[in-house]
Amino acid sequence: MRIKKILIILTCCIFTTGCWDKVEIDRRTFVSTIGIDAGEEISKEKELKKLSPNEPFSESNVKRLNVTYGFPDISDFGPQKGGIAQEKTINVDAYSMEDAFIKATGKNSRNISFGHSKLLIMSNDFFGYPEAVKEVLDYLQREPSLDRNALVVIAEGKVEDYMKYKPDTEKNIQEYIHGLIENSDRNASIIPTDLNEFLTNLDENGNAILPYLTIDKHKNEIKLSGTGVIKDYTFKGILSPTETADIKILRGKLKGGKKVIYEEGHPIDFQIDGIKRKITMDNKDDKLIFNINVNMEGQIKEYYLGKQLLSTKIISEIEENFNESLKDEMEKVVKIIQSKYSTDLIGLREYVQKYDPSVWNIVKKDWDETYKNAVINIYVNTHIRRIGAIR
Amino acid sequence: MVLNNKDIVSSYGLFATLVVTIIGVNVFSYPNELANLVGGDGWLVILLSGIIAYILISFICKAEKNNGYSHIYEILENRFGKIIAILVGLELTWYSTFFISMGLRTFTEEIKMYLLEQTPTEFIFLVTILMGTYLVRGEIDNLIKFNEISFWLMFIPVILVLIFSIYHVDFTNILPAFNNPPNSYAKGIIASINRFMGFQILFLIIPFVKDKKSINKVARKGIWFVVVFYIAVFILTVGVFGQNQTKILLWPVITMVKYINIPGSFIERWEGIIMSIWIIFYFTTFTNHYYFASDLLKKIFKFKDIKLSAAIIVPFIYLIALYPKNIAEAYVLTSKYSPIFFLINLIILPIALLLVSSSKKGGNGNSR
Repeated sequence: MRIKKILIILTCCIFTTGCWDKVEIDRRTFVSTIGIDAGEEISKEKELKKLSPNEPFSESNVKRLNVTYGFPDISDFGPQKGGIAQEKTINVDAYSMEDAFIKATGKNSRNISFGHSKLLIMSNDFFGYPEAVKEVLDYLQREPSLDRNALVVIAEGKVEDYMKYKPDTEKNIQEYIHGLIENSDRNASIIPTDLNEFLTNLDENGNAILPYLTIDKHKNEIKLSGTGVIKDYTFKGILSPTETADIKILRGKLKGGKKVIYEEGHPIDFQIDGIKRKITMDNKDDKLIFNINVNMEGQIKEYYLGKQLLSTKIISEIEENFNESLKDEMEKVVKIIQSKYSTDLIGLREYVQKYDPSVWNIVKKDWDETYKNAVINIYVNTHIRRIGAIR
Repeated sequence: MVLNNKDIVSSYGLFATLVVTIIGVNVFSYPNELANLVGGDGWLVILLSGIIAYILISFICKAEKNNGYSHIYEILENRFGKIIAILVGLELTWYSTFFISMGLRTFTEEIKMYLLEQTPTEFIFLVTILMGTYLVRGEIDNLIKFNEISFWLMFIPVILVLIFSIYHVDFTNILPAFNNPPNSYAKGIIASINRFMGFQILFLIIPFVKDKKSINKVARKGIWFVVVFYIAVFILTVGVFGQNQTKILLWPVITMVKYINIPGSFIERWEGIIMSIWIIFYFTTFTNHYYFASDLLKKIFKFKDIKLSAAIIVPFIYLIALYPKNIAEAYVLTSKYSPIFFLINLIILPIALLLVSSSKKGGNGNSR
C-alpha cells in the first residue's frame, strides 16, 4: 500500500514539474547590452499620428528604431576555456522595442533572455525624438524581466559602432564600460547612472544626466567624456568632465576625485576623500536664494620638492586658496547650467519639494522661470587632513 | 463541545497565525496604493489603520470573552437566532472565499509575469487549491503548526533582503510630511485598512488558545509586528524609487527586490528566491482563510467533518478566481467589494457582538 502511494507521488512529479517553462541553458541567448538608436524613418511621426487606433495592418514595417542586442557568445565557454566570452551582436530595424525583440528572435536560433542585461546605450540622435523616447522608456519599465540595475549611457553617433568595438583590456564592450564606470570612485568626471536612477530623476526632477561616450575612429578608442544632459526627454548638450565633477560635488554624490590649484606655477593636487553638502533656502522678494555649503576633506598628493607642508599656516593658506577657487569655479558652472540648459541638475527642485512644500506649491507652475532667476550661492570649506609621507 | 476543551494553540501559535494571515500577497502592491493616495505620508496612514485594526481586534477578543470562548457560529446562534446566524455565517464564508479567490488570481498573474511565464493559469490555480485542501484536511492543529513554521521561513529571508535594500535608500524621499488635504488621509485609511483584513481568523482560533488571559496582549504584539513590517516596506520602497515611480509600479516591492545589488555581490538575481518565499506568503493567507471558511460551513450545515466542507468550497474558489477577465478587472473587483465586506464583517459584526453580549451578560452564554 505504502509503495503504491509513493509510486503515485513519484509519477505526479513527472507529470507536473515545470514542463511549460522548461528552457535548456544552452538554448538561451543572454543579452548583456541593448543599444537603441534612431531608425531611418523616425521622423515619420506625423504620418503615424494619422493612423487611427482601429486601423488594420498597422504592423507595417516602419523603421523607427534601430536596436542592437549584444550578447556573449556562449559557445566560447567550455570546460577548458574560462573567463569572459567574445560578444556578438544582432541588429534590427523595428517600429518599437517589442517589435525589435520579435525580429531579433527571428534572426537568432536561441531564446533571447533579458535577465542579465547590464548596459543600455542610447544614441544622442535618438534623444531628438521625445515621443519615441517616451515609448521606449515605457517599455523599459513595463518589461518585468529587464534589470533596473543596468547602467545607462549616451553615445555620440551610431550605437552599432560602439557595440562592435573591441577594447584592449576586456573581451567585450559591456565589461569595458562597466569597468570604466565602476572606477568612478577615483574618477570624478563620471556620474554612473543606472536605469532606476535615470527613471527616478526624470520623474522627480524632469531631467537627468547620463555618462557620455565618444568614439575616435582613427585611434580606435572609446572614451567616456563628461555627461549628456537630458531634459523633457530631449538631449540638450554635453557637460565637460570638469563641469561634471563640479555637479557631482554639488549633488553631494562625490566619493573621490581630485582638484588642483597652481602656486607659483606648480600644481598642488588635492585628493578628495569625502564630501558633505548642505542646502538652505531663503525666499526674498519672489526670488529664491539657495545657499549650498560644501564641506570637503582629503589629502595633498603633490607639492614641490624642497618646500615643507607640515605647518598649520601653510595648510590653512592652501585650504583658503582651494575654497576661493572652487567657489568661483562652481558658481560659474551653475550659471552655465542655469542659463544655457535651464535644467536643475543639482536637485534644487527636489529640495524645495521636500523641505519647503508651501513654497513649492507657489512656484511649481513656472518652476523653470523661478529656477532661472534663482540666486545660488556656494560656500566651500576644504579640510586638508593628511599630507602624504614627507614633511 | 469536545473540541472546546482542546486548548491546543500556544501564545506563539496565536501570534504567528495572526501575522501570517494578515500579511499576504497584498504587501507587494501596498506601497503603490498608498503613494497614490497620500504620497510620502503612507507610514502615517499605516500607523492609523493599525490602531483602528487593533481596536477592532480588542472588540473581537472582548466579545469572545463575554461569550465563554465558544465557536463564532454558536455565539451568533445564541445571540441572534438561527436564521441570522446562518446568514451571517454564510456571508463570512463568502467573504473569505472571495478574498482568497481574488488573491489567488493576482498572485497567479504575478507569478506568471516573473516566474512561470508559460504555465497555464488554471494549472497554478489547481496546484495551489489542492495543496491548500491537503493542509485544511489536516485539521486545526496542523494548520497552526504550519503557521508557526512558516512564520520563520517567511520573515528571516525577507527581513534580510530588506536590510540589504537599505544600501540604495534615500530616506528623504518620504518628505514632505503632512502635506496632504485631510480628506485624502481619510481615503487612505479606508483603502489601507483593508490590508489588515484577515484578523477574523481570531474568531476561529481564540476558542483554542491555551492561555486565554494573554490573548489581548498577544494580538496586540501581532498587530504591531504587522504595522512595523508594513511601514518598513513602505519607507524602503519609496526610498528606493521615489514617490513618482512608486505611483506607477504595480508591485513596487518585487521591483525593489530585483533592484537590490549587494556591494561586492556574490548572488545576483534574487527575485527567484524571493518569489519562492512569496509563494509561502500567499499560501499561509490562503490556507488560513480557507480553513476559516470551511470550518464555518461545517458548523452551518452541521457536517461531521471539515473534509466535506473544504471540498464544497474548492469549485467556488476556482471559478471566482477565473471570473475576472484581466488583471485590471481583478483589481477593480477587489477595491470595489472589499471595503463593503470589511465594514460588515470586521467593523459592524464585532461591535454588534460586543454590544449584545455585554447587554445580556449572564444570559445564554454562561448557562451552557
